[in-house]
Amino acid sequence: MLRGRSIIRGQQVRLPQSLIFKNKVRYFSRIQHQWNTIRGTDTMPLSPMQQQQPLQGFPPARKTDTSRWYLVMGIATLFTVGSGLYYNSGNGVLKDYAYSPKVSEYLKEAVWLESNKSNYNYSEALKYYIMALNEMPSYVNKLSDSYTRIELKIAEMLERLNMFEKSKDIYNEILNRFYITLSDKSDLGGKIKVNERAELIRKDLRILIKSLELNQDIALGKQNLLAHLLLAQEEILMKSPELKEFFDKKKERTQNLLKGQSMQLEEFQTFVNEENIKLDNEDNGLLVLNMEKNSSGWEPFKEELFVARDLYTAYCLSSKDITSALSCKMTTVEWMVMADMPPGQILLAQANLGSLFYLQAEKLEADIDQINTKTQEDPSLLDDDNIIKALRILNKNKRNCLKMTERCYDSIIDFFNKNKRLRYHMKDQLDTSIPQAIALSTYGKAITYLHEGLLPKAEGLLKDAMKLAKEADFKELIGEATKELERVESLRLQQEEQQEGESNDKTTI
Amino acid sequence: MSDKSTTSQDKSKGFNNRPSLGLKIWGPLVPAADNRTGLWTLWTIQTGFGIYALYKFRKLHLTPLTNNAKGVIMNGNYLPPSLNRFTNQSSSQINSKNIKWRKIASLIIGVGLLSQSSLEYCRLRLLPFDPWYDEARLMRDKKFFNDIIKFYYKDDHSLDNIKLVKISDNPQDSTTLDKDDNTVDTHTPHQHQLKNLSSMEWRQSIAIIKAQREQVNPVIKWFGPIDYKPMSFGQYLDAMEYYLSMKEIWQANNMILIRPGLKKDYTTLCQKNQEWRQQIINRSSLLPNINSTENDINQKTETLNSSRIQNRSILIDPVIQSRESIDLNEIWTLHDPWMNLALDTSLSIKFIPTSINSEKKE
Repeated sequence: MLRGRSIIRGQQVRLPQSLIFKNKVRYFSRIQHQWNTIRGTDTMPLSPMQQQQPLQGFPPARKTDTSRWYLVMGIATLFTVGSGLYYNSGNGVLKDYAYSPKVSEYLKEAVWLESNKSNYNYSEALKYYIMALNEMPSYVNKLSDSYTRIELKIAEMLERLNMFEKSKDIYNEILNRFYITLSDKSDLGGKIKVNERAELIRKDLRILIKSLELNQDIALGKQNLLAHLLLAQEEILMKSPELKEFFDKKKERTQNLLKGQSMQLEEFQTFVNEENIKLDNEDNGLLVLNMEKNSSGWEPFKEELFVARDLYTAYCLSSKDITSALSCKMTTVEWMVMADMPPGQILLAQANLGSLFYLQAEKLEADIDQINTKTQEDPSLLDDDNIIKALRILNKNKRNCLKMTERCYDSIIDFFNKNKRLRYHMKDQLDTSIPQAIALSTYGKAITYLHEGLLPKAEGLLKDAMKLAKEADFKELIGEATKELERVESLRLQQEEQQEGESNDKTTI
Repeated sequence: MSDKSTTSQDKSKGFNNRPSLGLKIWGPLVPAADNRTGLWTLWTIQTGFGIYALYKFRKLHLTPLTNNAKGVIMNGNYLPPSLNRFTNQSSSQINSKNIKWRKIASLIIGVGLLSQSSLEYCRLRLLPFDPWYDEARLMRDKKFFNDIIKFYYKDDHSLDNIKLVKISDNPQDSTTLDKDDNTVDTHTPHQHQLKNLSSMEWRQSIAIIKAQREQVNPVIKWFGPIDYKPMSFGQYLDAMEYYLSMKEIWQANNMILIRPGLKKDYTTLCQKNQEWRQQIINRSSLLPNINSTENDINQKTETLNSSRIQNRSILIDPVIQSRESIDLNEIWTLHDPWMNLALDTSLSIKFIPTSINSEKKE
């Protein structure tokens, strides 16, 4: 009996995985135990000796111990599983592989050579970085930081050695690798997790901007930009319902345009206002980010995205395509508000938008002039309805553009004048783009006055802009403003001469 | 942690419980959605309790309904339980009722806890996208930005001494102490370097350090920014639904964005780069023979726009004497190539109109 029980006990220990079976065994053993008691010693208690003997093998005190032990074990495994799950959640494609001893040896050598310790020996460091890259085992994902980091180092060394063609090749290789991976959307959220994908896009955009800096070919640059921007845009569209709304509205607008309704001036609103640019709660007039606005769909690559978009605008401008530059920039500013970019960036973007509107107005004016000179040569053209209609539209558009230029600049200047904090702390702004935007708008406003021929107003504003630009350390603007001031000066002299001439004429009469 | 959390909750009226699918019983203790460590910790504890409750249930279920069902230990000896149900009947009745309720309660608690845990598990592991997580992370970043602004414009005199001491405890940051505030001793090791910093840079670095300290504050670390209101469960579902529907659309018409021939170009480019790299290792004559002094390189690179790179040369701590003692992890955190690339590519593009063009045309 005793033995049999202990064997059952033994089985119980040996087969812990089958819980139910174990329970039955334990239950069974308990019943047996009770039977034992009933049969033998229900009325008469056991003598200490008798009592102890059958229980020596498995004292029930230990029984509760074992159950507790199971519990502790269970919780312990649970903790390990939990922590394992936690750690595992961070590891996907971008997992940070540990370097093998050989690779890390090469890397240390390379870092040593690159540093001040070896007097910045970049060419030797480059070799060691290449050797480290060659030693990387094949299981390391080529998208992971551990791999791309070394590639970036190689490219950096090449740049330092002035071998820009070669470093461009390296950047292009990484860029294409990222692009090929990212454009495959069949396995979304599978192998590459959602957050990793966003991180990859961020890196992709960084490399894109870098490769464009080294790139001379405008057409290729534009093509690359479009493709990668589309990728980023689609990523945002996945998470941001606001952007979808934006596209729906835009669709509507273009449909209206096709139907013949032109865009109304009233539809255009500037972006710098109290709603979009938040001030802190304590009335300090600090420009802060809005904590109530959730723009997480744009994270984490929004900064890179807007730089890339600005580059696209610049490419459009350099190929004299002001219209697409303007529409791109308009979208950019609108998106910047959606993405809740830092206020300085929004201000600067709107100032830039004003400049682009002005450029567009100038272009329209040039077109009008062209038509005018043609009609002067051939007055019969004026009878053509189409030409008159075109002239009317061009004039209207030009006026609109100038108005929008003014609105863009004015809202920034108003904002600046209203905010005392900004006015008195221009010099020590943390975000330099805020004073730059203000200087640029003041300057831009002066240019519009100059355009209209209002010299004294223009001069005053130019001087203001000059002062602001100096405070903001905005060198390019200082240069331009000095040139413009000289122009104002010469124009004024011309006018004075004219006036003198006129007055002379009058006196002679 | 819990003490701190409750006090912080009392302090700020606007504290909102952090969202979760299955950790709701923790109430205000639930950590921010981007605090995965915290979430998993609570999840594990909750699951542990759930399992314990079920275990308890099973144990009670198997217990015969007698008062001394487990047996008694008397004088260090075990008295087996009795099957005699006719003695002590009244107490056994009470006991059986008691056990019944305990059984039901532990069953309900166990099942409840475990189902909640599995819900949370779904959110943390199975669902592809977590709007709460993204939101919490964004808010943390925003708070960091706002803190920098706030501390930057705060008057420097409001720095209290305790904070100053705290800063100076940190060897790296000791130098960024306010020089206007004369509480700092002038014997800091990097003093001579720091004299080059303008007062603006001083203030900037102080602001950044303070903001960073705010971030590692345990309460903030656990809950994220205290004053933000996480999206409601309804919004969470909406965001999730939107994402899933967009994903479906996207995958249904998986446009091929790759221009034809890109993959081929890529492989040839890879080969080209690989061959070229091999050549460099074998023959050093391919590299320009730069007599590697910094000045030389400086002059050469200044012609191109990469002079920005120059500021970021690796400077190794003079304490480190040999290449073997370099800590690669430290190098990668201080000189992360991806971070350098980010600094390189954060361009500020401005369009400056001129009146000269138009005047010329006229």
